[in-house]
Amino acid sequence: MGVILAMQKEYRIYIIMVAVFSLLPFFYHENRYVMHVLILFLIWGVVAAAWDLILGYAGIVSLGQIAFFAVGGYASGMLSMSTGVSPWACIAAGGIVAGVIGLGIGLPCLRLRGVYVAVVTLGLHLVMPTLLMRGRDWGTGGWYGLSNIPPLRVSAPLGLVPIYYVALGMFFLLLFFMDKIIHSSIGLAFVALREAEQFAESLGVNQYKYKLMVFSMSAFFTGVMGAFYAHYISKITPAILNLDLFLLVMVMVVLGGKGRFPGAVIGAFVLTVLNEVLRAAEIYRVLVLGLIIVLTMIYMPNGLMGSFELVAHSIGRRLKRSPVL
Amino acid sequence: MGGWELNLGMLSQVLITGSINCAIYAIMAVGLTLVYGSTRILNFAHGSLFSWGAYLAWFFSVGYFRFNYAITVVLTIFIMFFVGLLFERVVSHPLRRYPDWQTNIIIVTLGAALFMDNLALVVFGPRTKRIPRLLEGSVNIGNVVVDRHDIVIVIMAAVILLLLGAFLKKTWYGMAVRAVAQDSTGAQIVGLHMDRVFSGTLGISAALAGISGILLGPKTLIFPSVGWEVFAKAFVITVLGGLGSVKGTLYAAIIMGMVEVFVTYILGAVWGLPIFIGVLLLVLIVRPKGLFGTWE
Amino acid sequence: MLEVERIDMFYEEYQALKEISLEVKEGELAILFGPNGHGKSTLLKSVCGLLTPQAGHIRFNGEIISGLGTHEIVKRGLVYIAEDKHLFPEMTVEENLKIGAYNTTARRKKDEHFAYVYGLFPRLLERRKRLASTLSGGEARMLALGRGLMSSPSFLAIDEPSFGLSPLMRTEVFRTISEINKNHMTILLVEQSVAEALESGGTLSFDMIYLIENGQIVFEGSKEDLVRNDHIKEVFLGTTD
Repeated sequence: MGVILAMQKEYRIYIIMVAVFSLLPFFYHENRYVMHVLILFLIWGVVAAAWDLILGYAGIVSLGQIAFFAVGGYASGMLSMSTGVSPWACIAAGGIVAGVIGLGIGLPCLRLRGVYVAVVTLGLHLVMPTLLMRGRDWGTGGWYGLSNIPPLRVSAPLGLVPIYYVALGMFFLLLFFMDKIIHSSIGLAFVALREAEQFAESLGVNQYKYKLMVFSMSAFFTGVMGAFYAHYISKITPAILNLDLFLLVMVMVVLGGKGRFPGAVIGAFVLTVLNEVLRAAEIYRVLVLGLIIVLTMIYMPNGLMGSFELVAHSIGRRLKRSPVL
Repeated sequence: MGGWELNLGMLSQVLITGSINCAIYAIMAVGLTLVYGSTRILNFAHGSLFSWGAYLAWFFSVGYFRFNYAITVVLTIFIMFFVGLLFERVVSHPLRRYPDWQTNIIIVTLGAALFMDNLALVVFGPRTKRIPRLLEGSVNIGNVVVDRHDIVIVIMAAVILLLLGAFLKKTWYGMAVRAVAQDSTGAQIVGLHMDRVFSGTLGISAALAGISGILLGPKTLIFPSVGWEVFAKAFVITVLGGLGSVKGTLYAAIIMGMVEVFVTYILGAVWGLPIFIGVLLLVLIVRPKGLFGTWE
Repeated sequence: MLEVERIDMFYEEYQALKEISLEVKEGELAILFGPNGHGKSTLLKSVCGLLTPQAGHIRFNGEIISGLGTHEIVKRGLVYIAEDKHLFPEMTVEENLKIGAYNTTARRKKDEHFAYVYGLFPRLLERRKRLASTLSGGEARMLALGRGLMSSPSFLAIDEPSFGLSPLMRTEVFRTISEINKNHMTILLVEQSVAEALESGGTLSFDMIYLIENGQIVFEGSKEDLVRNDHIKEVFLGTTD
C-alpha cells in the first residue's frame, strides 16, 4: 500500500513538471531567445544528469562526457549529410556510436583506479579537437566543422516550438530512464558501493560490470543529445570541445548536487540562466565558475539538492514535533 | 667519414637536449608523485602551478619589478610554497572529512586549475610573455652547440633533486613524508602530525612546479594554459614510474626524456606528446602500477 | 591511569561498543580477552585516537583524551601497537625505530631508547640495516613493539601481539611484555586466545582481566576471580578446572 502511494507521488511530480513545461511555450512562443535558452536547458539537463549518473552514483570520475557529446553530434551530422538518412535515425545512430566508444574506453579503464579514468578521459577530450581538425579528409569539416546539417523534419523542417516539444519529450524520456536505473538494483548497488565499498564488494556486487553498463549508457544518452544539438543548431565545430562548455556542465553537476537526482538538472537550470547573465563579464566567467566548483565542494558538497534535503528534513522533523499534528 | 662525424655530433646534440628534458620532467614529475604518495591527491592544478611559477618569474624579473635572477627565483619559490600550503589547509583539508573525497578532490583540483589559469589571464593579460634566460649565448662542447642556459637548467635540476633526496632521507620531516606515503595508519600510530605533513608536501610540490616553470620559462612562450602539456607529460612519467614512488619517477623521467628526444628527432616534433600518450596506454594495459609502484 | 567511561562506538548503524567502561591503574598489566569481532580492536583504536567514540569519555592521567588526534595522545605517553603492525616497508629496521621517536620528548632521549630496544630485541640490532619488508612475522612484531617503545610511552596498548606466531615465539613475546611491564610500563594487552595466554607457563603475570563480548564487558577481575568463576571458565576455557 505504502509502495503504491510512494510511486504515485513520484509520478505526480513528473506529471506536474511535464504539464508546467508543456505550457511554457504558450507564454513565450514569440520570444525566440527564451525558447532557445529553454531548449538549451533541456539539452544540458540530460547531459548533466548523464554525467551525474556516472560521477555521483557510479563514482567514476569521467572527464570525457563532452567528448561523447561531440562524437554524437559529429557522427549524426556526418551520417545525415553524406547519406540522406532521416535526421531522426541519425540521432539514434549518433547516440549508438557514442555508446560504443564509451564501451570501448570503459573496457580497459574501468578496472583501474579513479585517477587513471580521469586522466584518460580528459586526454580523450583534449585530443579530440586535434583529431577533428585533421580529419577533414574523413568528412569532419576540419577547423570549420559541419554546417548546414539537415534539421529535424516531419514533411517540413520543424519550427522552434515543435523542436522545443521534441526536446521536452527526449528530456523526460531519458530522465525517466535514468531515474529508473538509479532506483533499480543497479542504482542501489552503487549507493551501497558509495557508502561502504569493501562491505558491498564482499556481498558480491560486481562493480566492473555495472560500471561498464552505466558508463556506456551515459555515453549513449549524451551522444543522443549531442546529435540533437547538431541538428537543432545545424552546425557543429571543434569549438564545442572548448573549456567553456566542459566547465559549464561540470559546474551544473557539482552545484546541483552530485549523486542526488535530480540535482544535476536543477544545476543545469541555474547554470543555463547564470551563463546568459555572465556573458557580459566574459573574462571573469571561467574564474567565477572555477570558484563555484571549489567553494561548493568545500562548503556544500551535496550541492543545492543536498541543501534542499537538509532543509526538508529539518522542516519534517519540526512538523513531527509540532503539537498541532 | 664526414657522415660518421655528423652522426656522432647529432647524437651528442640529441643526448644533450634529452638530458635537459629529463631534468625538467624529473622535477615536475617528482612533485606530482610526492603529493600523490603522501596525500593520495592527483593534483590537477600542478600544471597551473607550473604556469604561475613562470608568470611570477616574469613578473619579478621583467614585468613589473626588475629583480635579478637570484632574487626572482627565491621569491617565486617562496610564494609557490605558500600557495601549496594554503591550498592544503583551505581546500584539501576540509574535503577530507567526506567519504567520497577521492572523487571530490579530482573535481576540486580541476576547478582550482581552471580558476588559476583564468586568474593568470585576468591579472597578467592575454599577451604571451617571455622571460630572459639566466645566461645568454652558447658554448661549444666538442662539436656540439649547447645553450648556456640549458647547462644552468641541468645543473640546477641536479642540485634540487639532490637536495630533495637528502631532505627525504636525512631530515626528520623528510622521514615523516616518506612514512606517510608508505603507511598512513602507521604514521598516525607513531604520532606524526598528518595535516602538517600533507601541507608541507603540497608546499614542496608547488615549489617544485614553480621551479620547473622558472627553468623552462625562458625556453618557451608563456601563456595561461602552458602548463597543461607539461602536466600531461609529468603524469605519464609518474604512472610509468609508479604513482607514489620517487625512485620510479626519476627513472621514468630519464626514460621518457630520452625517448621523446629520439622520437622527435627521427619522426618529427609533432610526435612529442603522442608518444607520451602511447606510453601511457601501454603502461595501463601491461602493468598499471608502473615500474616501482605498489597497489595498495 | 587509563579510565574508559561508558563509551559507545558506532560504525554507521552498527554499534561495536556499548557503554564500555574499564580502568587500568598505573603499573598494571591488564588483559582484554574476547572473540574476534566483538570490539577488542575497536576499543584500543578508540583509546589511541584512531577512532572517536560517539558517547562517553576516555581519560588518561585524569585528562580527557577522547576526541584528540593520535599525535596528541602519543605526546601524552599513550602508544598503540597495532595487530596489523603498520610498519614502513621501504624503511630499514633502524629507520622504523628512529621515526618512532619523532615526538619531541622521545627525540631527546632517542639514543637511550635505542639502547633499551636493542637490548630487549637483539635480533633487531642484528637486522637493523635490513628493510622492514624483509622481516619474518616474529621479527616484525618485535619491530612494531620496539617502534612503540621509541615513542617514550608510559602506557602501551598492545593488540594481539602473539597472533600467527609459533608457540615458542608466543612465550617469548609474553615474556618480553612482562619484562617491559616490570620496568614501570602500564600495559593494556588484547588477546584472543585466553587459554594460550593463561597457560604460557606463567610468563605473563597480569593484574586484571577483562572479558568483552558483543561490545560489552562481561567480566572483570583478577586471575583468582577468573579461576573461581566456573561459568566464565567453561565458556572461555572449555573446562571447569
